[in-house]
Amino acid sequence: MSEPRPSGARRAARAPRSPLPRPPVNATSLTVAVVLVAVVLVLLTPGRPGTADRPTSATGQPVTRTVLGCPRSPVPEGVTTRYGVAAAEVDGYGADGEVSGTPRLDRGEASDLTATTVTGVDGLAQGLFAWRADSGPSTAVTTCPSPRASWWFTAVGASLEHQSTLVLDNLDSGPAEVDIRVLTPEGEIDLSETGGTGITIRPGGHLVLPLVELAPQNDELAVHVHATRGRIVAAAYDRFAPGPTAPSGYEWIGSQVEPARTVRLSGAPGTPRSRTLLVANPSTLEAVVSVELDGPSGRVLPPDLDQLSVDPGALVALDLTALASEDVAVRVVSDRPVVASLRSVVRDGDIVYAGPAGAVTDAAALPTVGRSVAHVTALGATARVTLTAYSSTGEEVERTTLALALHETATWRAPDEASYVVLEPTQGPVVGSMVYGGAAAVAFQELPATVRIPVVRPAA
Amino acid sequence: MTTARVTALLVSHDGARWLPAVLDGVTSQTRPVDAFLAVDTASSDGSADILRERLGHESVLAGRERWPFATAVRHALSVLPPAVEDEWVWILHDDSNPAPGALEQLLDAATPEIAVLGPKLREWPSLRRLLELGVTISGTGRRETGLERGEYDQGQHDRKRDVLAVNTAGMLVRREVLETIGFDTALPVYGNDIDFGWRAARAGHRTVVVPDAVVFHAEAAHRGVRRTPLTGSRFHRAERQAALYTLLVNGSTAGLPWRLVRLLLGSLVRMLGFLLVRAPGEAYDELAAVVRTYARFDRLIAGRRVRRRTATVRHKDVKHLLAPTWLPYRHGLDFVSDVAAAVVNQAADLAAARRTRALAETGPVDEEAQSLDADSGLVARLVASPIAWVFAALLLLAALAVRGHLGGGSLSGGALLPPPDSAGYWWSRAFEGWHDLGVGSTAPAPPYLLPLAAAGTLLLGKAWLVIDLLLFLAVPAAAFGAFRFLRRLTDSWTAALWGGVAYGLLPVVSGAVQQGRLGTVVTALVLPWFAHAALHLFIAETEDRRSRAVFRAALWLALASAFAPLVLMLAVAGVVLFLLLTARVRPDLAAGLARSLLGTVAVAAALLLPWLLLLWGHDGVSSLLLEAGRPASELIGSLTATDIVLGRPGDVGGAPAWLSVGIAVAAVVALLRSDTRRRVLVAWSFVLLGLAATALLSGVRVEVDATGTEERIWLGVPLLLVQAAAITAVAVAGTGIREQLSTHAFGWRQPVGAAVVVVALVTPLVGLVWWAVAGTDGPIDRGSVTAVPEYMTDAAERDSDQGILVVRGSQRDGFRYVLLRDRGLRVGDEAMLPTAEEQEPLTALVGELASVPGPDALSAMIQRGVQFVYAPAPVDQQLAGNLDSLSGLAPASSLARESRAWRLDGAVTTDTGHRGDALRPWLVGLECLGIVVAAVFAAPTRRRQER
Repeated sequence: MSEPRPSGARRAARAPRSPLPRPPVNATSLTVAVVLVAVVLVLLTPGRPGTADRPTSATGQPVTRTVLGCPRSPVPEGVTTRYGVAAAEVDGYGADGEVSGTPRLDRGEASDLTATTVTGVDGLAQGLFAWRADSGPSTAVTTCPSPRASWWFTAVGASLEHQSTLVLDNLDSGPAEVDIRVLTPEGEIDLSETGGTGITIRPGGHLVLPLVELAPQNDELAVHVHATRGRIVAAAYDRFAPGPTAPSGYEWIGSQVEPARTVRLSGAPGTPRSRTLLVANPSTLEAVVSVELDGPSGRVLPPDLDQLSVDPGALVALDLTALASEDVAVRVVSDRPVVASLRSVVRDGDIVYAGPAGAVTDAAALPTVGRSVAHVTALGATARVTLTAYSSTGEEVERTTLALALHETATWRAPDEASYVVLEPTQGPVVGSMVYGGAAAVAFQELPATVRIPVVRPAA
Repeated sequence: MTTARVTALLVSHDGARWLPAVLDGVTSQTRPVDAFLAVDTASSDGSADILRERLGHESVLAGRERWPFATAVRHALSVLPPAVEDEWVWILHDDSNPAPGALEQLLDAATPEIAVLGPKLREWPSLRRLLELGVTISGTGRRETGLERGEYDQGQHDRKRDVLAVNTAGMLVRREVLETIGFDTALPVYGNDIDFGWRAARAGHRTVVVPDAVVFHAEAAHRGVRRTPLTGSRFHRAERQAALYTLLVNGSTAGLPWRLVRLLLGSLVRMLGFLLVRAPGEAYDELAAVVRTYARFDRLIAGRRVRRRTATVRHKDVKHLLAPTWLPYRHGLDFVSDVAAAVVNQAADLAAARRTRALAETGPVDEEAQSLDADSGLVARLVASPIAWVFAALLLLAALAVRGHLGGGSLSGGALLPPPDSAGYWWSRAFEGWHDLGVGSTAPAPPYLLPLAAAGTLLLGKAWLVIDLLLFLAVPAAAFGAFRFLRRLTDSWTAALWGGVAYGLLPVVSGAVQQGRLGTVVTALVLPWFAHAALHLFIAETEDRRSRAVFRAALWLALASAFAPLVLMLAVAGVVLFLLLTARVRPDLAAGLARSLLGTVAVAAALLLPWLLLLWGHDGVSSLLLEAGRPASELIGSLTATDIVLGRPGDVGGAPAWLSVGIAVAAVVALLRSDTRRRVLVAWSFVLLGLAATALLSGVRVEVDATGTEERIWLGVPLLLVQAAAITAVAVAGTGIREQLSTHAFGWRQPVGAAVVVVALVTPLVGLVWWAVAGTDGPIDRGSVTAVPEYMTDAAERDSDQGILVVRGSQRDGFRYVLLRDRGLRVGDEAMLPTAEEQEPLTALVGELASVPGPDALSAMIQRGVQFVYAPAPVDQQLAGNLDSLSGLAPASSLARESRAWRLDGAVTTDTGHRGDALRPWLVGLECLGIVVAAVFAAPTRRRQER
């Protein structure tokens, strides 16, 4: 490298030829100023704003179409089955629209259902709920859910004393394909060879599947019914005998959508003969579970039970009979997502399942069948709910407001002339259920009112 | 032929310069003329006096100033005594000087069947160069002599032969033929010889050229030396007009329509050609000639009628005298090869100039160069040049770095969409007013489609190759541009080479290549060439060079801005700040610089104006801040001070930041060297400009219309400017740094300076090693173009109504969808997608499908041309269940078990009501024209052809 000579390369743009302005100020101070400005500019540069890729919250819109499917199944001898539907009386719900499966239904009214599928459109899609009530030697009640892909049933069985049957309905016009997963106390059973996977249900089809065909000789099971294609309505009815010679009780088992770290079970009537909590762990890691009981006087922890360990893919039964004196709700807390259910054997051997109950913050409703007692448990610090009983014509029969202390479970008996009860929390979330004649229980679920429209964006 | 009578007839107009010699020539003939008659058409230079003095008053006829040649000849014939047998007229111009034996040789060659004889015309005053030995005309109207321009007369053409025509200068013609046929007054000056010869041939007369007879001709009118009211100042137009007229009136009737069309189109092509070589005057003449000729169709008819009267032989019998039909094509080929030769010669000249300069320099390369023969071959020179070795190494490293991207499939990923199948896709996208993208879009095409399309066309339509070359040759190409630019700033080739390599690495170390940031990569390639052109705005010696530099810089600026509009904004800001500063410290220079700089920016903006306006109207401010490609803001991290200083605009794909420390440190230390400080400070002003832009834009998020989301801006361009300016500062200060450090003892500065030099030198070397090892792995990858089953894209390609709705996401995180037409989105499409507002109905439909699909969902899909729905894994269960539940939507096979696909039963008919912008293609066409015009003005000035 050589210092440029005046007679050197002609192509290089050298200073004398360039008409660039000569700075009049001192070069050193200019240099310092330039560096300082650069430093200031770098330091002044603000950090990048966070990315806005993640969508904000979904929006709710009034639901304009509600499809409900009631389980169809052969009933034990001597049992009478009735299907009912109601458009619950709730302020702000629409009054227009139509409901199929019943001659005519206006807002607030309840009616018998002539079909097992009911569709409400426009205003009457809001607040629509339907149920199936079996009465006879044993009382069993279940609500008619909307089709979806995932259904968990805990505390089903496939033995001589404990027989459960899955009832699957495909309400849609496309075929559905279903995989079934079974968890036992010993772990998960591979059902690929017993026909538990790839079960096709034709459009409008109906399938009754006794669990003994899939996983025979298992007393306690948890079952996952998963539609890999399409949607289904699934239900599980259960016949359980506390002993080889005892008469068997008959009940519908409440479903859970997905395993959760906190599962709340509502609808355990007091003074049963026995109470058994069943917790299954579908995950691949061991779950450490604790159990809490919320009764009329607040929370009670099972004695001698610090923590319950559930192996991956296994199911555990926990006897809670010692704490069976009161009406309670159960809270199962786990470090892994689990599914759970609580079986109570009541007098004369009938059984009641306290099924998974979702937190209720908006209006929920259930029918009254015989002696109907509402169980409501406060989830937060305190809660206040209004329970209103309506007749089948939509007339208000009785209304009460319950103020609940922390973890308190309160009960309220609905009047006999009522057709259904609407639960509306005015303060704090609650879980609740309706216990029918001490022999059946169904958890309150929020009525269809708004539909959550997820955030949708065009992609670039 | 002693019985022949010859009358010399000289037509003169302002020929006093040549007349005495001409008259001497005529009077010294070995076979004297029998009579000498001159017609002077009102010369103003004393020609008439000279004639009268030499020939006597009675032999000089006074004509009028505007008399055409034909009228002057006819006037002279009218005063001649009655014709006798075997009488000849020897026509001479006032600038044609016959050799002493000319007339004798002509007469010797005369036979009864020959009516016209012509001499060999040689150039006057050179006397040796051949001008004509007979003349004919080509199908395009070109006057054909069969000679090379400037050919020396060595007797190589001395063969007496029949020709179509001979020049009127020295033409010996039988008087009765001349009187019968005569010259056409419609041809005032040019072309009357060919016309006369053609008509004589049609009348059955032979025209023969006699090479032994020599006449020297100054071609005063043809060369524009003599301007008469008849030629006017536009002699090119007059010549062209005469040629067109001659062809149209003498050609066959059957061929007339074809000839009319051909000459019109030919004239337009010639006009375009003249425009392309920046000869607007000639272009205008071409146009004016054809318009004037065609406008007077009645004259053509009359001319043809006159010719029919004297014609006795058929057209095809004289056809052999006309130029061959292939001749114009041969001329076209010659022209192209001439241009190619000129380009090669210019390159050779530049290389020679470089060699000369290299010889003047010292250093290892130059010593080696000196030992080479001056005319040693290109290969030998390359082998001996370490610079060539460096660039060869860069090419090898580039080949090594792409090892991860070999194989089939198209490059895509990050900000880069896959390239289309052919460059035609880009052309059509650029020109169409309505794009069949998603629900249909009227968004303007981005400006970078045109350069991509042009490049793709040059690469035989292979669009993928354009993208591959841009990304994979970015380093050597950018390095070469920077090296060339830095050689202008520094005499040290090592400093320039260092700077070139350091700059060349910027596209990869910054991660721009790996993220598929076409805008930054193209800017990196173009910036040195723009800087090179912009430098001429300051150092150009002539106004012509400066003006060319303005257009050249504007073209480069427009090209970079087409890919990254931020470049134009930076240029505007830079120019404004510079002019403000100049106006303050050097007001004397401000006006001149303002014209050049503002001119550059204005021309660049004008070239981009339609796009800028349309894009601004469509996309708002985001059009100016986002560069080519997807925003891909997920690849842009938080910008720390280190990132800014070391030029790392993104989180993904770039080199470790410490790799660039050497440049930052050296750029600061470069300010310490006092003798180069002024130029280093100029470079630093660009560092500040880049940093200011970064500071301003770092916190900004722009809304992307197509998605309705706010995205962070990729700041590759301002940080590239910072790094480029820093490298320039270091290269300038690094000139002769070895001597500077070794000869000056200046305490602590010496070891510090040496350390910085070492760090700076090592920086690009480490960068090269990193590049070779890491390759160009990043978000971009070569693979399957779409993640959609092939049968769907096949169907969509066959019928764009069969759209594919691809939905990703979940209830919790929200859904994103894209409606694919054809084979999916391609490079450039990202800027033309319909706005979120235009897509709102489809957005609502997807929301419905993901929550509670109503009974109308299916008909809505049909209306929007959705034939397929595809949900890549993981699929939202509710969405899948909802779609399964829809009657009329059947499950279809998908790529993977976890993915889901549905197909609509029955046909889909899109009712989009295409309402494209009909003006758009014209605007783009206008812009193309603007680019060509700018390119013409940027090209080297054409040396005026000597006439």
